[in-house]
Parts: sequence; C-alpha cells; structure tokens
Amino acid sequence: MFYRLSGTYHTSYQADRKLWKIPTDRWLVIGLLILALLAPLYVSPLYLGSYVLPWVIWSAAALSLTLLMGLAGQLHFGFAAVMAIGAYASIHLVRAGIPFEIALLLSGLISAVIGAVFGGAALRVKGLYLVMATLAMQYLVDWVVVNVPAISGGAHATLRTPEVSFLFLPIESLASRYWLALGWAVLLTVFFMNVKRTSFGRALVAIRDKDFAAAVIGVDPFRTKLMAFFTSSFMGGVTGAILAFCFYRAVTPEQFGFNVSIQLVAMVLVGGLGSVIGSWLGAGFVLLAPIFLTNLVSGLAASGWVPVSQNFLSHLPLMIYGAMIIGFLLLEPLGLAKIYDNIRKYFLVWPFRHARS
Amino acid sequence: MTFLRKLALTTALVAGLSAPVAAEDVKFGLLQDFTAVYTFVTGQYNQGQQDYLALVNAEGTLGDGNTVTAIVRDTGNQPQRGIEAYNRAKEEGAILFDFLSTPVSAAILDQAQADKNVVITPAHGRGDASDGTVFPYVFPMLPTYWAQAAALIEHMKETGGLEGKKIAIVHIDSPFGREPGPILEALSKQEGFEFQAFPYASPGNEQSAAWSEVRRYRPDYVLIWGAGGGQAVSVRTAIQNGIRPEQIHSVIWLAETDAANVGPQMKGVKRFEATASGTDHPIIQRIQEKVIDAGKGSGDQANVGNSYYNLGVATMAVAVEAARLGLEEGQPLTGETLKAGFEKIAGFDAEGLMPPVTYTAEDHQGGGAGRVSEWDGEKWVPVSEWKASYPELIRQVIEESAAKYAAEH
Amino acid sequence: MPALVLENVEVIYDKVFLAIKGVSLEVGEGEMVALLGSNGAGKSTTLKSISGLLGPERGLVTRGEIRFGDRSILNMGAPERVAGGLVHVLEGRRIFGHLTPDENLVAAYRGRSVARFNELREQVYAYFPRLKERIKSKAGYLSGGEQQMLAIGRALMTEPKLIMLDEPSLGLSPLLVQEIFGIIGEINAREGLSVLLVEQNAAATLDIVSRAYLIEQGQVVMSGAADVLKSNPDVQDFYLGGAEHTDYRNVKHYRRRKRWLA
Repeated sequence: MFYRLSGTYHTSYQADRKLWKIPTDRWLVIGLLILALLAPLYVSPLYLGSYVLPWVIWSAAALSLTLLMGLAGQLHFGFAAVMAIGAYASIHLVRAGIPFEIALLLSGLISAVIGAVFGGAALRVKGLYLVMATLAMQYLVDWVVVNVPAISGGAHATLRTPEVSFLFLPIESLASRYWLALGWAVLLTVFFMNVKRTSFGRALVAIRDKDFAAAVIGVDPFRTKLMAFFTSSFMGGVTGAILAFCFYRAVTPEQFGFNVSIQLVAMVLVGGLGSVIGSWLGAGFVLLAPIFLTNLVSGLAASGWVPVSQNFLSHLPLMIYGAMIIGFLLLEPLGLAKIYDNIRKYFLVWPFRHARS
Repeated sequence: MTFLRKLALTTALVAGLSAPVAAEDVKFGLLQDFTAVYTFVTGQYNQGQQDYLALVNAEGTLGDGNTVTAIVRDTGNQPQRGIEAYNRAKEEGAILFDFLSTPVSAAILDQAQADKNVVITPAHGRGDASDGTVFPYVFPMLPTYWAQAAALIEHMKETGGLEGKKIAIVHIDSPFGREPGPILEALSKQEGFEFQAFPYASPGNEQSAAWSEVRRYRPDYVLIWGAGGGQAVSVRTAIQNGIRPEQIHSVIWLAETDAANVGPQMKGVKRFEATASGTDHPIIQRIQEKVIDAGKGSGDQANVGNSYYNLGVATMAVAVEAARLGLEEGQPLTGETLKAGFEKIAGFDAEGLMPPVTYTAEDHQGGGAGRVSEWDGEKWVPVSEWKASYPELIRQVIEESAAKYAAEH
Repeated sequence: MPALVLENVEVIYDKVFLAIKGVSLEVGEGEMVALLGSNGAGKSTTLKSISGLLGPERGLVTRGEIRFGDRSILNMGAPERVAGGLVHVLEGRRIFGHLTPDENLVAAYRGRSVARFNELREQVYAYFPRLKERIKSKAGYLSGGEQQMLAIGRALMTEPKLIMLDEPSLGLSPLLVQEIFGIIGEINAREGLSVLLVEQNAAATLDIVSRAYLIEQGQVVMSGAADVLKSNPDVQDFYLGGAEHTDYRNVKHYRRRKRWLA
C-alpha cells in the first residue's frame, strides 16, 4: 500500500510501458486473479451463482460497451440488443450441431456484423441523434426476436440452452460456468488494456476527441467508427452468449430489453467512461447495489426497525440507490473509477500531498 | 408476529418433550415485482397474501403449532434479481414461490423444477404449465388466459349469441396480448363468429389508432386484453369511439383502480374474474377481524376486499390448504410433499371466495373455472355462475403446447 | 489601493497535480501589468484562478487569497466576478461563432439600459472600426485578428474595471499584434482601465506595460518595472531573443544557466 513507487525506476521504454508498471500493482492483480480463480472453493453457491457470476458477466458487457462509448465516444443505447443477437445466435448454432467453442465465435461475428450494419447506418449522425438510431436498433431487434418464432422459440418465448462443453470441460456445474465467464471477462479486460496501447486504440481516442482533427492526421473516421462498432459488438455478442449459457440457461426476450440497455449505460457511466476498473466497479454497483439494499432493508424491516408497508419497503431501496448514484456523481463526476484513482494517487505520493506537475 | 412465532415455537418445544414431532415453520417465497411492470397489481395482491398468512397463523390452520412465513422481496421484474432472490429464499428454506412476473418465472422455472420446489404462477407465466406431467412442480392454480378467453366468449354466446357476430380483440402487442389468439381461432370455426385483432403498442398509454380501426370494423363484442394503466385507456378510448360499455369484455386485469380512473362511464363493462371481490366473504371478514383490527395488516386497509387483494388471498388459501394436506404426509414439509398436497386438493373453494378447484397430477390449473362480473358503478357484480368453459378445447391447447415444450427439452 | 491582489495562491488540478505554487502579484488601479512566461509556466492557470474558471478543468485554489478591490473573490462564481468588474479575455478568443459581431456584443451586455448599451457599443466600434465593417457576417467567418478584436470588444461590453487578456497575440501577424497592443494601450490610457496582460511575446509586451512579472514552473521568479526587466541579461537571453546583433566571435560555447534558478 505505501511507498509503492520507492525503488521503482524504469530504465527502458519497455519497462515503462508494462501494463502494471509498479510491482505492488502487479502482485495485487495476480493475487486478485488467484482469489477469483479459487472463488468456487470458498464462496457459497448462493453468492457465487447470484452475485459473483452475474457480476463477472456484466463486467464483460460493460467493458464491451465502454470500448464503444468510452474509447470511441459513440453513444449506444441498444447494447442489450447486441447481446440478444449473440445469445440467440449461439443457442441456435449449438442446436444446429456446431461445437460450442466455434458457436461462441460465430455468434460474436454475427452480432458484430449486425451491430456494424446498424452502426454504419448510424454513423452519419452524432451525439443524441446516435442515441436515437441505436434505440431504434434495440426496438427493431426486440421486435424481430419476439415476433419470429424461429428465433425466440415459439409461443412462450423461452429457449433453454443445450448442454455444452468448452474445451472438454462440461459447462454444467456452477463452478465450470463461473470459470468460463471469468475467463472471458479476464480476456476482455486484458484485451481492453492492450487496445489502449495499439494504433487502433489511439485512433479510437483520436476520433472521440475530435473526429476532423483525426481525419487530418490520416485516421479514416468512418472506417474507425465502423471498426469500433464491429469490435464492441463482437465482444458484446460473445458476452451475450456467455450470459445465456453460463447464467440464465433459459433465454427470454425480456432478458435483453430496453431497460437492460439502460442498465448497461448506467454501469459504464457510474463506473467511469472508458475505464477498465470502472467497468468492473460500475457493473458491480448497478447490478448488486439494488439487491444488497433490498435485502438490507427487508432485514431491517423484519427485525422491526422500519415498520412500513410492503409497497414503501420495496421502493425504499430504489430511493437509496438513486440517491447513491447522485451522491457518487456529485462527489466525482467521472465515476467510481475516478474515485478509485484519486485514492490510489493519494497513496502513491503519500506522505506528500501532491505529485510534481 | 415474531413474538408470537417465538411463543409458538417455545410452546411447541416444551410440548415437543412429549409430542412426537416439533412444530414447523413453512416458508413461502413471495418474490415479486413491486417496482417495475406489475406494480398495478402487486401491492394489493401481495397484501392479500400476507394478510391471509397472518390469519392462518392466528387461527392455527396448519395444526400442531405449525406456522407459515412469507419471505417477501422485490425483484423489479429483472430476471437476474429474481434468480438471486430465489436462491436466497431457497437457502432460507422456502419451498413455494410466487414471482408474479412472467420473465422472472420463465428464468427460474427450470431451476425450480430441478430443485423440486413448487412455483405457483397464478395469472402469469406459461399456460401450458397446467400440464402436470410436463411441469410437475408448476401450478398455474387459477384459470389460464386461454380459459379466460373461452369463458368470456361463452358469456357472449349466452347473452347475445355468437352466430354471424363480429368480435374485436384489442390487445397489447406482446406475447401476453397474443395469448387468446389460438382460442379465438378455434372457437370462431366452432361457433361461427368472425374476429379481428387490433394490437396497440406497449405500454398502451395511447391507443387511439387501434380504436379508430375498431370503430370502422363495427364489432358486436369487444375483448380488451392488456394490463395496468393501459386497461383504463382501453375502456375510455373505446367509449370515445362509440363502443357501448356493455360490449366491452376484459381479461382478469380490470379492477377497482381502473374503474376509478375511467369514471362513471365504466358502468356496464364486464370482466373475467377468478375470485369474488368485496369484503362479504367469511375469510375476508375474519382477516378484517383477526388481522386488520388486531393491527397486523400488511398495508392500506382500504385495499381489503379489492379484486387483486382477494386474488392474493385466494392463491394463499390454496397454497396453505396444499401445505396442510402435505403435512399430513409427514414432516418436514418439502417441495415434493407440498406438490403431493396440491394434488390432494379436491373441491376446495376457500369458503366461497373462489370456484371449487381440484388439482390432479395432470391438471395443475384446477379445472379452469371462473365467471364474468359487471361493474355497476360501485362494485363488481357477478353476471354468471362459476363454471369452466370449453374445458376440452382448453385441455387440448394446453397439452399440445406442453408436448411441444417437452419435445424441445 | 491596488485593484487586484493575489497572495500566495496555490492551485491543484485533479486533486493531485500542483500547477502554481504560491503566486503573489498586484495590479494597481489604472495600471498595465504583464505576466510573462513560457509554455506551461502557469500563466493561464493564474488568470483562471482570478476569473473563477478552474472548476470545469477540475482545478481548485487550495491556498492563498485573491482580492479584487476590497473584497475576497475566492468564493464567488465566474459570473459574479464579471458583475464585480473583472473580465477575462480567453486564450483562443472563444467568440460565439454562430452570432454576428453585433449579437456577440449584445450577448455580453448584462445591464438594462438601452442608451448605455448603445454608448458602449459605439465605443467598441470606435476602438475597432474593422468590426463595424463586418457587422453583418457571422463571427465565425471573421479573420483571426478580427476575432481577437471582437473578443476584447465583447469584454469591454461588461463595463470592467480590470481586463485580463490571455495571449491576445496568439497566431497574429506582427503588424496586427502592434495594432491590437496599441489599442489596448489606448483603452488603458483613456478609460483608466487596469490591464493584466499574459503573453509569451515578451518583446512587444514589455514595450507597452509599466510593470511585469515573470513566472516559471508555477512560481514568480522575477518582477519589476518593464524597463528594468527589459535590461536584465537573463530576460534578454531567454525571452527577448538575445541581443540584436550577434557577435559570433563571442558566441558562448556553453548553455547559459538562468541565474534565478540556483
């Protein structure tokens, strides 16, 4: 925690460009990874299945979305639709006899192509108009899924995922489902951290900051934006498939509705646009805070602390949740990631108060 | 209540020295949507459920000092929150679940079946779950939407005839809104009427486009198929478009709140009901006396006797009856014995609050009987007897759909 | 009594980075003072701390005191400071590109009196006759020099007591710089308006101001009358481009150290 920078001198560019430059950070990440890998051994099935697993998957979804919204600066309010395409595509592909590993990739590709087509159509517009265009995608995909029985699986629109195995590991037990989801989320995290250091990542940032300035240094805005939609939709599509196979295991259109898109945007914004740690924190907060609050308030009510009607009791967590979001954003408009960053920087320069400018 | 339960528990423990079995606390998970989509019904419905369970504990209905406790949580109609709530309640020992949300029920159905926990899906969820051979642990419990459509059609037949008549079905554009489609299709051939569907976009705050087409269609009867705020809009817009209130027939989701929203024009509108409304029933009277007046009610007193309140009471009356019969099989009560308890229920009518229901290993709908009632300006007045309409047709649709589901899995 | 006083002002960006560390300066009433320094020295930060524009850039005055007249202005918002008579002409002009020059001036006048407005507007057009010629076109289509004039004119519409100019010479030809500096000097002389001029173009600036501060790495390293600074050998070497005639025989073979950085 303290004096982490002491004794750390980077003598080569390579050392200075490492993902985790500070040894303490590196050990922290490795430690967290080991803890995460071993989670099935010490986390109860209730918490693993209902908290950790969805958190990991939604973090992957938030990472996919923040590539588009945070790095490339393209607002997307229909990301749940992208995930829906991935989820439904993967189920149908597996049912058609394609191995799960390949079906995952293919479903990502299908989402990527459809996402890029909508993205391409939307690229003539910016800002709020792009929001409208992506909303249209959400409603269109929703409508198609609900109204085409071949996709949604008939009258009651529940599609159960077939049993599959991934690299000979049957994706059946909670632990195996968790490991697959964790593997994907870690892969996305590492990819995201690296993409920021590639020419593609820099092109995305250039487009976000000033697209015509990017154009005059030779970055093709149309191509780059399209690539951003493609990459992000690919990641979102596979995440949708993982969500279907590892968490829900029975897919209905409501699981990918408009409100889910808004939740994803909230994760990205509350976490902090374009930030890796922000995606994890934002997903955790948006996904789990309402659950924790509901249980907390119910617990207080059961012990007689809050003697109110059920209706008020159910809305109380929502009020607290809303107040927390406003509170966080007032405290730090750049999201949870920035709060984390401030704390981290404070300790980095501790016992001094400021870094050299 | 905690005190009472503790007291009951202590006495049971003391008595336990001599008695062979200890008293048991049966747990029901009422994990419903209080905050998102089903808010129009959940508040009153859940209040009825909790009040009835309080009455059960006050009266000792389950015998031998056994009690029943509700685990109540909000799921916000979000499947992932439903899964969390289900897993947590399961860990706390709940063996019966009521999600009152189609998406949440759908997300948990498979898991609950594998866990052998009973899921009741009154007035929501899949209609084909009435087939107990395919869905052994799911109990729709009340008439499915198919049975409701059939009952309303039969009522039209009895009041004005169907031969050569035109029926307009104005529905919300969702899978729920399209549920009566197959029934109307089948009955139109059998009874010789024609019908046309007029969907409106969810959530139905604005329906004028659909209704101006209905006006041109000149229907003899109108069937409205929506839920929540859209229902009052349907009735109001229908009347604006020259439809007489007497022509309007509604799915179960039309209640006192909607009547208050529509106003005096509502007089004459008919709806399907699975349970009686009003406070003039022995169970409701006793709830008033032993729960509400004792200060143990779970919500606003004014709701007592409302349609959705009574619906909640009826669901818990059936569930508690199943638990009582299940406990006869032996303790402790599990999902399996509770299911067996359900399937022992025969001719149970909650002291007249609902039509007599009988569950078998095949039929988890309980017969599908209901009736039609009419709004007289102040309350709902029944205009038909409790009965199941076209039961063979409904059974056939249920079995076909369930067979398709079974084939896919 | 000085119009503006900064006492030991410290500004931190983003809660961690110390941008200026203890800047103190004074601008007397009717005085024309320059703040000189190279890129990133903290000149603009100093100006923003005075005009109250640090917020949007996540900066904060963490120490020190800023007084304008007899009031401390640290707790005031930017509009309040303008109402108090303190106006800031931003670097890069920042005129309203979709409005005409005239509309830009209207937008800046916060008062109620039409007569007073007309008077101010005529005064601006008198100082900058070029603006009047372009009165119909959109301000976004004006040339760089005209936009700078508009920015200054717009600031004058707020009836300031002190005007702060952030690099008005940015991207302008030497002739235009001369013209604009001439006008600024004229306004200062005629209206008795205090001026705080931030510049990199030290040579032109030191000709028109009476005093100057030299800021480097967030600290004031030198201050004094313009003539004194101009004759300082260090300032000459580092800010004025050395002596005018280079004697190549005496060219120094080592890099000269700034004397104030011991």
